[in-house]
Amino acid sequence: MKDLFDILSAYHKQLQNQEQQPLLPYPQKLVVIDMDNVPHNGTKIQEYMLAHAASLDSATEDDDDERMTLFLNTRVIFCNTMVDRITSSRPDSHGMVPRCEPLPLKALVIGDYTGYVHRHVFPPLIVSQQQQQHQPGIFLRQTPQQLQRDIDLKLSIANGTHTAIAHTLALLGHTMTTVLSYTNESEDHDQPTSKNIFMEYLDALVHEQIIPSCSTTDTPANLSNDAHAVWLDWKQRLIHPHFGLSTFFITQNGTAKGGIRWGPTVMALLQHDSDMDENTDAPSINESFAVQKPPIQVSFALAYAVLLRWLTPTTTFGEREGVYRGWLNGFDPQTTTNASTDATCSGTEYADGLCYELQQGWYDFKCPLPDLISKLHACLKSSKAQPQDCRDAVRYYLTQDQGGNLTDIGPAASAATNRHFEELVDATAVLYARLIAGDDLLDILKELQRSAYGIGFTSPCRALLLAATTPATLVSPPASAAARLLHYRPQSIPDSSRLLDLPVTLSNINDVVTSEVQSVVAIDLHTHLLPPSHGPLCLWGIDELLTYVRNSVCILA
Amino acid sequence: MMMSTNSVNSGGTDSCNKDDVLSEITALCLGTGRFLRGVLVPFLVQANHRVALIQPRGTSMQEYLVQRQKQQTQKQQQQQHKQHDEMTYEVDTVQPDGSITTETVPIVACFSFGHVDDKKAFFQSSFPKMTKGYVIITAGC
Repeated sequence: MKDLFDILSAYHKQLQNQEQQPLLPYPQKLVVIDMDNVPHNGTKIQEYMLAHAASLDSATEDDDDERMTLFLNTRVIFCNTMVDRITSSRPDSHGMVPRCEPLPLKALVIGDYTGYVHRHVFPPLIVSQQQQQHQPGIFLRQTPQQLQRDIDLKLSIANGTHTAIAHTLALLGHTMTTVLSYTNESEDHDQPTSKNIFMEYLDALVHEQIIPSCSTTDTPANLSNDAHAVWLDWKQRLIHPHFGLSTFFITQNGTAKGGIRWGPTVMALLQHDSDMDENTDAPSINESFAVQKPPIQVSFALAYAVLLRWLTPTTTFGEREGVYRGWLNGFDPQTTTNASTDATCSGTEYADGLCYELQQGWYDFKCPLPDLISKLHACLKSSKAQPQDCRDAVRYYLTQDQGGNLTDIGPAASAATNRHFEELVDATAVLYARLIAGDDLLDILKELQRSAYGIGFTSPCRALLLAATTPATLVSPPASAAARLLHYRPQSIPDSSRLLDLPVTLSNINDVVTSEVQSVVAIDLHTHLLPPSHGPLCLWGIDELLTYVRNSVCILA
Repeated sequence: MMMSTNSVNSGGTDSCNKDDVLSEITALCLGTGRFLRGVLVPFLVQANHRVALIQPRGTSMQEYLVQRQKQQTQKQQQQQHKQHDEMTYEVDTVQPDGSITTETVPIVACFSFGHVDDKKAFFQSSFPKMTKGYVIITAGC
């Protein structure tokens, strides 16, 4: 910053020097293009420069501060930009030779609100040729809204999927993102990548959640097309078989990234469909899962669950300067090596002071929320954490501004928004509980990929809930506060899950039993006439009374 | 041509050529990071800008460019080619098929603010001769 100010100040002084040839004939200006990967980077630079100018000594008659401020405001253009090209360095070049991926669609987007950059910095020939031919590279945006849209799409699609997949891959011991170019578990590079289970997961997340969330805001109709273009471009970069990134490296700052990269998308979905829920006519009782599509799907619950699994310290964790230790998928947290107490980093270092060791099954991570660490540690330490016992930790993370950042939940939100939020909490808790109980992450991915138990990536979060609430469309709910009508729902936890090996406690026995009973298929071969108070079991008419198969279980306490 | 403090390490180029070079500069990059050199500088060169780099800390970029320039000069002398003073650096792009495309990016000059004297010399002797300042690129601010 100081160096930039010195350069601008030198230009300013030369302009003031009337004895020399004017440096910049009117109306030329200086253009400052910032390359920091920070939103509104140009504005931030400008604010800093103006603040620095204002601090100049104004005690003399020269009024240096005012002159410099005037110069900055009238003769310098600070451009906001969006930059995006993954760059490392050539091995053994000591950082001197950049090593890059192929040029992305939007490697550099510059906010050119006055048109000056277009006229004087980048000749019209280059920019128009690229834009007309849809060549990747540089884009100029004429309005702040256009640039903001580029930033939002990059954040939600590229950064959002990067965070989702990085924690998944790292937990599974895949150290590089190049695994995304493979098909399923094979390393056959000749096979089409469309069958990669990880990419199927991301496709579901993007097409069914992230892109639809873009359309919920007040944006042009072609936003969906732009979003698809951004995903297609990013997808090609993700599956580059020879230019990958360290998955562990991407997991840095995961606690905050879950809020920064997913939060806006999730809040948009929660708030958008809240209106749909309240205006929809009462659906048929037998279409309990075919009602309007809830906003949040299993793909997002899985993303949060995996992130929280990553942030769960081992039972033998020890804090080393804010560093915690986690255990990889397939390993026993009880036997993971204790975190070393000194400042050295054993294993493979993936970031400053953070290591992983694949053979021993551990990794280091940082988390700025000590209360979250305590809650997650408690879930693991109890050795009998059912999903209900993990809700508090999940809800805590989602509502922290340094975490999930879903802070617009609660009394100020609509009833539908809050309900959908709780469904997200519950669904995440189910998947998270399975993971810390020892269910294999890859097995869970395969279950969802195949919809093995009727639940897939695009299923609503409600499908994962253990205990169904009374649908609002029922007539005359039972008077008893403890009574609930149950309707059949497939068990969201497979019989192979290690959750079924955990003891049931007083705190969760109600939900566990309800879940188990709900998933039982009961066939009633006898003719029973039940009153309207029995909801869907109340049948009438000759067709229903002659022959029928019952597929519901009714329990009245 | 490389500038370092007040000296010119250009294989015998005189001060007149140095002034000519300085007066050609239309883009000044404050920073020498991989991303800046891999993305923006090539765009600027493609737009016919004459680019100069400033390394805020250290002199590694200058040393690298001088080393490359010497190697290029020796190679050209051996091949009896005309000597060029152009400084260049390389940028690798990894293609999907695994092959690597190397681009050579020319720049006009490279300065260093690594030492106080270097920075002072830049503003006193080099900067006043830069009369075409259009673009300033920043990074890592």
